[in-house]
Amino acid sequence: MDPAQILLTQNRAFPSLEYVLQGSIQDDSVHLLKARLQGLCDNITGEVEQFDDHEIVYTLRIPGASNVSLRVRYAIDDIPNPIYHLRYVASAELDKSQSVSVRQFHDCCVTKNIQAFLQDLGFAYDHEFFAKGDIFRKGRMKITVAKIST
Amino acid sequence: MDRPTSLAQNKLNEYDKLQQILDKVRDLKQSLANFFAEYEHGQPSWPTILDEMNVLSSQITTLRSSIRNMLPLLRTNSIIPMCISPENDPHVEQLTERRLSIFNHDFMPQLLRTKNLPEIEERERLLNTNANTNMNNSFGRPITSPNEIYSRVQELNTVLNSIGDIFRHTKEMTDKSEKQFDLQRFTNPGDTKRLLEAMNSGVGLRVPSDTSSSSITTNDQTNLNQQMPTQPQRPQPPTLKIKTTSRPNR
Repeated sequence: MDPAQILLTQNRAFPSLEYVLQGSIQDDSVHLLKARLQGLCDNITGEVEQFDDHEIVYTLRIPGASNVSLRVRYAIDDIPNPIYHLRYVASAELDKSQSVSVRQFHDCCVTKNIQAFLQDLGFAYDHEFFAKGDIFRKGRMKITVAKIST
Repeated sequence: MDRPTSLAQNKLNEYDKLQQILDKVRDLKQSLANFFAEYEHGQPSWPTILDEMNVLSSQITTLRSSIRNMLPLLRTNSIIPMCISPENDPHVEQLTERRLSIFNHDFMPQLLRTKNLPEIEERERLLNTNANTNMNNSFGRPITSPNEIYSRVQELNTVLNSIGDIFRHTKEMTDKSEKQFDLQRFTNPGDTKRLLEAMNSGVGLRVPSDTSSSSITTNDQTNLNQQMPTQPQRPQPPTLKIKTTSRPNR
């Protein structure tokens, strides 16, 4: 049974699961990947959608248990009043029967007070990075090609 | 009796080769027409475009190789226009599938031109000037002493090396086969590993801090945790607040 069905039989809340696939490509071949994705994904003739995000990860260290991490992300283009986006991702479950790893996730849009709120809750600033690149969509799939910097 | 028949056989072989090339060109034209027809009928999907491009590229490659095989033959034979007329020629029209109807003075030089592309002309010019500068060096001087012999041998070696380099360079430029494309590396597994660790667990993105200050912060954290109520292991999804308003009576 796949993870969604297992959780349903255990009467837990309906889980939001996502397939996740990650990889890397060298700088001098990025244009080939972008051309291929532009042809395969929706909106062939339109402009490629770009994004420039800043993501901050907060961690709650629980002695004797695994840490909990929350990701706060906002777009740098919206700088005067950015919309903050809170995301929780569990560790990926590598199921032998499926070729792609699955993980649980929860998403939420929050106000700019989120950083102070998380710190008041006890989360500590862990690390942050900037991600700048393009995003492609195909149906429900999202494909991002981004460069990570600090 | 042998010679005429072997010549006739050779002529037949050449004609066959020409026919093969003509068939290949016709196939290429057909697949190009197919591709354009597909494109006219709305946006074809990327996989179909890729397939058609693959077909076109393989046809062009086979055409190139068959022409390459014919090169010695093409070099020894030359085409001479025998009759040029300013009137419609139905035979020519039928041969060229109605693309050319008049074989006259204007069109004939275009068809039978032998001038190279500007790039190739440039390359040939460079090769010629380089060859001339190399030639001017030493080949006329008489050999006087054993030292001269040694230096002459050195010069000849350098000239041969440069010729070898030129050959290798042109071979690379003209012989871009698929194997070279497949040998290219697009990803670096070490980089992938580092990126995944950075994105998923923050390895490599944390600012290193002193051990003394970190111990202080952990102490603070444990104090804080004892004061606050126990945290749930997993954060709950946000609770939905639904506001209901009573419907006014009609």
